[in-house]
Amino acid sequence: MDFSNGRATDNSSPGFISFRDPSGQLIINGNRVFRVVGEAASDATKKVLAAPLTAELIAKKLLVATKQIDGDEVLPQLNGSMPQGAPIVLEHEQIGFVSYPYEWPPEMLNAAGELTLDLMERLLAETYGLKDATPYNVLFNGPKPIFVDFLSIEERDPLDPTWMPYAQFVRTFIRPLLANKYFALGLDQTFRVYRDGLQPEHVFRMLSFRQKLLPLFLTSVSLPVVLSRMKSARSDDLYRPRKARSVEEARFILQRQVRGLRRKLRAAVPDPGRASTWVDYETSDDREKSYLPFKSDFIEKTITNVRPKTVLDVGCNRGHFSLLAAKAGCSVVAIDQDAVVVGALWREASRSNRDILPLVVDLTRPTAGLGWRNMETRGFLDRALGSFDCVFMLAVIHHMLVTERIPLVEILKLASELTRDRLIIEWVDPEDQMFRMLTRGNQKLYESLTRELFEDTSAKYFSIERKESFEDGHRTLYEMRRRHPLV
Amino acid sequence: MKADGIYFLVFLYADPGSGMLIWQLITAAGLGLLFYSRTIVRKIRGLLGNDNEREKNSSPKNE
Repeated sequence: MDFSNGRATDNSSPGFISFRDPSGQLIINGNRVFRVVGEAASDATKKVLAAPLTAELIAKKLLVATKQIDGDEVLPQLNGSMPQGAPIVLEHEQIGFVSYPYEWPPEMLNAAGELTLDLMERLLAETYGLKDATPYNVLFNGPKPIFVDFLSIEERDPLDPTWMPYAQFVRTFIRPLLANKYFALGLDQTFRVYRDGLQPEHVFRMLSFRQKLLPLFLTSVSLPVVLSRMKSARSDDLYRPRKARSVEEARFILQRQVRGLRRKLRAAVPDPGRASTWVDYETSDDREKSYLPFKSDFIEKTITNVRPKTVLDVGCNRGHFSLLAAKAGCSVVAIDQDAVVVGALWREASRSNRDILPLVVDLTRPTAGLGWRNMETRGFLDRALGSFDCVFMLAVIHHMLVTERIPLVEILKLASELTRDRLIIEWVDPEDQMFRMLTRGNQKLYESLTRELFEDTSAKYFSIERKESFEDGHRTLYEMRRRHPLV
Repeated sequence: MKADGIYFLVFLYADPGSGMLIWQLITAAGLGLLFYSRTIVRKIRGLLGNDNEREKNSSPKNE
């Protein structure tokens, strides 16, 4: 599904830069994704493209659909930074909404790790392999992970028994998941700071003496730390190419090591029943439960009339309304700052095959572009503004107003920039019980905040199509239409 | 100790991942032994068994 917001993000305009891969460079223009492959890697790439294995992986949707195209289509974008020689140009299928590991709940990082190992197993059977093993090679189409770093696929020496990216897999998948599961270290904290994941020393410092000896941490953390202190860890000789005595032996070793990584990954899988502030909200808050049918009807009516193709659900919690929208055929991106509820929504969307991409995002404090010059990854707003036909802001406005002290006009302004057309927003009156819980005695600050003020302020950016108040009048649902809808 | 600390930092700068690689090479060596011991066991079984078993054991195992 196309979430493109029409903003050109190619190498000639600020916003995005791709340089890490020595074999090629990614160029994104509007909603087309190109990869320029340097001369040195061209032959190998053509061979991979032609292999039946590649077609099989693409058909199974494990690997992003890719084809070779005429280089002339992309030359104008390159502005003199064209690699030397005769490069070839690939075009990739565009993935709906790009997301990064620091926005994923641990369940999704786990799924990305399993996909990487699935791919590796399939490739090994035909003497191919992956050059690297990092979550940045994986994007999500709705809840489904898909491998996008085409150039990572390489032909291997059949006698080579060492998969060099093994350590990177442990750094970027295993240890962040372990630290998240046992030490509550958020994935956002890990990946915003450490591009290449967690070194063993980093996790080693967190462990008690007993934990250092547990099988769970021994081979992933303690042993690497101890072994790296040995003299042989500092010699170049460590990296010399090694050969097995037979092709079968090399294959045996590699397959067993991939199986071992899978066991480690499964040991680090997050506990579905874990607690958090918001995980019980929908089922334990009685009033929220009683409003549910009313809210659901209102939203269903809007979706039936408007038929939005893409929806952003802000403060989605367990995703009741995201699931509603997805069932009606919308492509949904659902955000919430609580990783546990986002993880629960991902599990449900995966299980019931719904087009929902759940992400851990705090809309009042979104990620900016990261990496070199803040241009290697794109900030959340950069990807989200103008990308959705309809935005839901249900039972969130009072959190933004009270807890984050964002002015009302700013909230509505941002909403008008996120959506191309419709906004469904729930007004929560300061007299409402939940609102009062948040203000903690500072009621006076919110005296001037009335429904009339809300409607007047929204008139700047939206026209009100429909509104309906709940039984006690403290909550009102609005369907608003952006005054200057983006086509 | 301070000297250890500096030494540690210097090596970190030079060699990320080397500890994991050493462990990987150790397990690979172990797996290599396992691979060959299985092959040997299969061959021995082949030599010692009767005709039925020899046929069964000489067919390639799914490794």
